[in-house]
Amino acid sequence: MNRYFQQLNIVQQCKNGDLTLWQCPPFLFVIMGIVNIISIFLTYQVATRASEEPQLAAIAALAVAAIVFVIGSAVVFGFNKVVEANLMKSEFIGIISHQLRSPLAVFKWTLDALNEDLQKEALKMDARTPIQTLNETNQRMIRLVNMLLEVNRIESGRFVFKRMPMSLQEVTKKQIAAEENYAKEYKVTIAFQDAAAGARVDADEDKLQMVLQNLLDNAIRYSIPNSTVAVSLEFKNSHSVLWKITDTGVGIPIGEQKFIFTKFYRARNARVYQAEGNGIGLYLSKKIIEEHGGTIGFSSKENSGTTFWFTLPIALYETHAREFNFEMHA
Amino acid sequence: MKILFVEDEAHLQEILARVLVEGGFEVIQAYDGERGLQLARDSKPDMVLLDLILPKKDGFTVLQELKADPVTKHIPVIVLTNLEQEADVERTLAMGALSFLVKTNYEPRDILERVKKALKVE
Repeated sequence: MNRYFQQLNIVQQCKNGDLTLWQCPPFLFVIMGIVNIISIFLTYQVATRASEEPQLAAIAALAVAAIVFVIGSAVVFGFNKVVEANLMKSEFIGIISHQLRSPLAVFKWTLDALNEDLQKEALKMDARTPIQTLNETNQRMIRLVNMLLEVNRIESGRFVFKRMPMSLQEVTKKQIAAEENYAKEYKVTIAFQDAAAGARVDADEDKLQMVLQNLLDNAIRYSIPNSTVAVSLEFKNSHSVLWKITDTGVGIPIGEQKFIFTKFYRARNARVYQAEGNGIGLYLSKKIIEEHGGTIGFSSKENSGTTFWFTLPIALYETHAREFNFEMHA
Repeated sequence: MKILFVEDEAHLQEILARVLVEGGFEVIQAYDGERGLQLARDSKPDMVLLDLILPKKDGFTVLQELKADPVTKHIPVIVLTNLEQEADVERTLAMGALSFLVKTNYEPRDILERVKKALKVE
């Protein structure tokens, strides 16, 4: 019995599919029904006033009902097809991603073992660099699969955040250190300026790391060689911090700027300059930052450079502590 | 101390087993769910590392039966897998697994550390 009631709870059904109410076929069907009832009623009212014959009124009402029903059903049917396709896509991505992880895990563990063995043999550095390359390349594939799964999860309304007070500075420093080799490849240096005096944020460290990685990767990838990428962290106001990253690279053409945070989109000049990169990093980053209660944005000038920024609310107890400090000093 | 590793992928078995042996543990290997259950009952390991996708009997069923059997129910189980749906994580933790690790996110040495930490605590 419960399952039938569950099916009737349209609002819940729609939430499960990560659809807005107006995109949701069952809801639209109900709306269509209501519209139909109203139009039958109105038609009948108009028809009885316009003519003396009750049959005409009845036929007119029926005709309108039929037309509304046909149009409405076509619309609902169309939406249903889209929802089904969406679900299949989610399932498909989920299955493939998980399948991909098996060989990726084998690569990861085997390379790790190989690296350990080489370390023990105390081989010269040259012998270990190809292993490192393979390792990093494998890591990139693993990260891509992780991102795909993350996006898939978000699309299906299934993401879960484990939030804890943490230091944005520490995660930033860690990520910058992890990207050292990548930056060297592109002949870019990364500078970090921390002006946020130990403020902490309530965040899911793994998800935040994805955002930082994405923004850093982009800044490095689209910079011109021998330039510096500047990362900074400061207070935006008493209850949020502002994280910024600036590069002096190819920039984003004005016409493409409004598509930057959409899925699978990469600016036209990006495609020309670089073969890497995918279109889901920024989309994912925006979703993650917004879920944390922050905002994200950028400013860019073609051939001059780009600045990406995001804000995050300071961890609650932290805000209280600061307010308390202000009081004390006043 | 004895560790039972239930995983169908031979390469992964080899590598993790090596790391665990180097870490001072004795490793018992099972390549499918049924064998894993049998070995758990017979050799009573100190910990079980369990993959979820297994031939003959899947990891969820193995976990369930391990926890239902008085002989094996107190043995700590760490789930090592590539699945990641919240439903799966919650399910295994609710069934009594100690933790849930995604293989592509951990190196064998990290897993060794986790095992050491878990067994000292126990």
